[in-house]
Amino acid sequence: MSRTDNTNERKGVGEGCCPITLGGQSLFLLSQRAVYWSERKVLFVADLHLGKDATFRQAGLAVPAVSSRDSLNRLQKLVEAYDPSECIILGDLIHAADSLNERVQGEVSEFFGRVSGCRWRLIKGNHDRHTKKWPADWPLLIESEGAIMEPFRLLHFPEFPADARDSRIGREGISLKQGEYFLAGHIHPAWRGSASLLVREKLACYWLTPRGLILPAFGTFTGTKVIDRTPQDRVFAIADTQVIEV
Amino acid sequence: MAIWLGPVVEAWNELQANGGELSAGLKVLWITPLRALAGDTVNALQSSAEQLGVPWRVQLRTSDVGSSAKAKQRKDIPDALVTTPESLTILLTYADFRERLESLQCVVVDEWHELLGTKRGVQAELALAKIRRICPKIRVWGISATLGNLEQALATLVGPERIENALIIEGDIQKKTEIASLLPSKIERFPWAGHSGGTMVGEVIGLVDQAKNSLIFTNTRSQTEVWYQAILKARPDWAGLLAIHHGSLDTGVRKWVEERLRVGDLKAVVCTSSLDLGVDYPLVEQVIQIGSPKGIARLIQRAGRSGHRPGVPSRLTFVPTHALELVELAAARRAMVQRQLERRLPESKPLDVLVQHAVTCGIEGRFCSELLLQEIRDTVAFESLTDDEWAWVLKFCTNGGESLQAYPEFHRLQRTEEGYSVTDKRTIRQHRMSIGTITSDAEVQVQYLKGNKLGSVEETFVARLKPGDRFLLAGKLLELVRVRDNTAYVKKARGNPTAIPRWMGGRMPLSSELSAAMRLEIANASRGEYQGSEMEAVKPLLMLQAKWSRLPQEHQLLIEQLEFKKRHLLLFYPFEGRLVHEGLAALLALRLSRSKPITFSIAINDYGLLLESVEAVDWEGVATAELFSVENLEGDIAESLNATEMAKRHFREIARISGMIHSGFPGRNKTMRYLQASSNLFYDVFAQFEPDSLLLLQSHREALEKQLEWKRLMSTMLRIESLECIVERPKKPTPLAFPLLIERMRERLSSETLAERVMKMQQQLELDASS
Repeated sequence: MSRTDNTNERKGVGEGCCPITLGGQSLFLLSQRAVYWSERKVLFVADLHLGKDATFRQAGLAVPAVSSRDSLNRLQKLVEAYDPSECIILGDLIHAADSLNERVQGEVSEFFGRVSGCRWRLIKGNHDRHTKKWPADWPLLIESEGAIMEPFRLLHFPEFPADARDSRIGREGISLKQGEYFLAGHIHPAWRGSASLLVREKLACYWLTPRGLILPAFGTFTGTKVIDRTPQDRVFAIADTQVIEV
Repeated sequence: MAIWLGPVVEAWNELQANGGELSAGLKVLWITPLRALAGDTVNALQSSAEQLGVPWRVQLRTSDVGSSAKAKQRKDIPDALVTTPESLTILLTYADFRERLESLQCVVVDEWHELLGTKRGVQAELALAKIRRICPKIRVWGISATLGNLEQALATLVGPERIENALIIEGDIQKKTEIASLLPSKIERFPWAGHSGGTMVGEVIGLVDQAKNSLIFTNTRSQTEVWYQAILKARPDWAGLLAIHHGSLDTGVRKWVEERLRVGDLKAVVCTSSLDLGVDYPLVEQVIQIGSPKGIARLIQRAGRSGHRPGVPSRLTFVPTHALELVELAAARRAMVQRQLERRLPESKPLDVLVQHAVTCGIEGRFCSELLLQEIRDTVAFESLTDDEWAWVLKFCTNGGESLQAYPEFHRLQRTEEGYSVTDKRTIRQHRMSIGTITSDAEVQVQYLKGNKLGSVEETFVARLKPGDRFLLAGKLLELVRVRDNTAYVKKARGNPTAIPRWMGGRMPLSSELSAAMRLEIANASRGEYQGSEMEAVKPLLMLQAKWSRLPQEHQLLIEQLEFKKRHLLLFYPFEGRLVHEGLAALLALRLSRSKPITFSIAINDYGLLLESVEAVDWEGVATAELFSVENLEGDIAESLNATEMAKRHFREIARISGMIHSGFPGRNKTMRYLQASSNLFYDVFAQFEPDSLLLLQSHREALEKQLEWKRLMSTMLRIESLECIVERPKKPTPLAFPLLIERMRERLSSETLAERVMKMQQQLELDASS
């Protein structure tokens, strides 16, 4: 595993992250639930689920309304710290049909104004299909799954082998070529381990399968699902500001 | 029943005076804790009214009743309604029903001890307060088993203001209760806690054989399954005559068992507290209690399930699962005679219930904040509700919390000039469906592939299973085929189980009253006083404890320090129940490691706690007064246990009751999927963005009180402060230490290897003891 230190030039940047090599490329698994690809200066995030809190409140369920804004603020900080040339969202930017209300839309527009230094791309996820009309002022390139950035395929749904156990959500359709790896989200992976006798902790994690990497959900108000790992998989749990292989 | 006769006789008098005419309208509301029992109650009330020649109509009003029947009931109201706290609350949201309450003469609350101390009880209190306001002259009757705090129980029923006008009537027919212990021919000198008492199966079968009908109580649902299998294995000819009954079985299965109990054609039923309640089964001849009932009231109540005919005594046989449980029984027996019964403390200010109640009141129509507050304060639960707390609750219901003011999309309760109300149709519908405070842990239904339902197990249990794994449920060995849509599909299996389901909340701690009685029993033994057959039976064991170490007296706290298998063991015996010991163990571990960092492993049981370390503890260097000081207790507890994790567990219930999470909608449609979030997630966003949320604080308080018995922990610490600490250094694990060592091993070993190891250790210690 080679460590390229170009991300660590500024103090504190990348602290606690875990570098891995995938397809000969250096990926930095950040404790902020994002991946930085140093060769191409690309930042990946997945599953923001913006406006989920608004959807909840519309249904009469009380959620503090700051969570979408919190997600955006954290993303802005990351962009400022890493200064990527491109930022790619691996699906599920918006939670549901009624999530994109005026306020959320305004907040996102404002956000894009603050991070205009890089290109933005969204790989559409299952939740994004409810958004029929994307605001014209968002500088966001919207694509379907399967975009290629050698050696990576950009997905929302992770790709699992056809004989995978059915508890692993997968879908047919896009087949990876030899030497290709996917980057995906959707699962909101979490690892459950015991930190002490009385406590069993559930931590968001990165899930590296032989076919590609699944990112943790970036959004503040998103749940997690404990993964069912196989011996070939590697798992990197996020414990506060540290990413630790478990 | 006697209570029922009052209004019925009044009706009869009216009938005579008016020449056979009866006034219409609702006269009696009968509240029962168990929906399953309500049907039986209706039948019993109806037939006794008829026997007296009063043509009253008694009807059922629970969630089991169809909606058209319910609508009809509201138009053509019967003379008496049997209902649950939940259904009553929903009924009270209908304005036409409230108008009909004018004719109401009395409210009867059945089995109040079951509701007292729960959030359902608080819900009932709030409903009673409302009824009192609508009809101030109402008579309220409560029926309760004997409690240590009857006065307080009374206040919760009639309101704290009216206590002077209320009466407690105690049944003066002293029911004869015979309690015996099944003493093993050879007392295992070294008790080991928690083994299922499997060696006693033969004796239990002998007992069952002698009686026509027996109830066999165990303490946990999993033990019920294990015992059922064990008995059936020894007596295959009892197949069909032996049944099983516990709270996680399908209602159909349970009803079938209850019906056959009534008819009396079952030899025995293995059950849990699920059969503590409800109509009596007059044909039950004896009760067998496996393992300590952990409380005096529970022992009496269980014994009372047998011999339910005039002149026939209640008979209970106690089957100890380890020798020290005999001390528990001896203590319970003594406390029973002295009527030292457990108290059930009512809940204090559960704001989640209040949030739900405020929205419920908003559905009823527009309410005025001050008037409603007055009504709410007329309950024991909210007697001391402050103006600020009430303001917070209203704000939470209107804005969703502090930070939500600016966001118009949220509205549950709407505030206008005239008051508060709920107008949104969807909110009303959703709220009516989620009224109630019963929240169960995420459960997965278990059913055969062909469709027959068996019961439910916890989600976390199913999550660990793979298809092909075998487990016991409803007395059957089942193989998991697949899990789909919150249902585990199974088929019958052969062979041995690979997993035993465990349900949360299975183990009750030794009650405070029984703990005190047990300490007294041990102190007596230290003076050579052994009273009763149980104490005689454990005498050799306690004598050994005294010889190798010591039996603590009332004013002493016994601490044992020894080396065992290259580990340093520190054992404390406060005899205060497992929950208090859990908190105490974490606290002591923290305080002992302050002067010098040291890592402990912890084990607890109802009698004491064990701290195990690789290095020796500099015990002399720490003043015991400091160790047990109540100073900064809360901070130290929070530091030593993962308080957040504990609070999260309780926040789940709070989130559901206060309406943050909706679950269990009939025919939940697809759009609901976008409204799913775990309570943990809610906890996290609130902790991050609204750390002062009163509901968040409530979850911390509940975690302390319900998980560690906070008040009891406090009084334990104060008690220990005044005790003389006696440190003994036995060479070998003592009879008191042994079960704690087993607890410690349990975490590391599979149950089979554990049983083997325990046997070996026990044999060795027996040898040491006899030499």
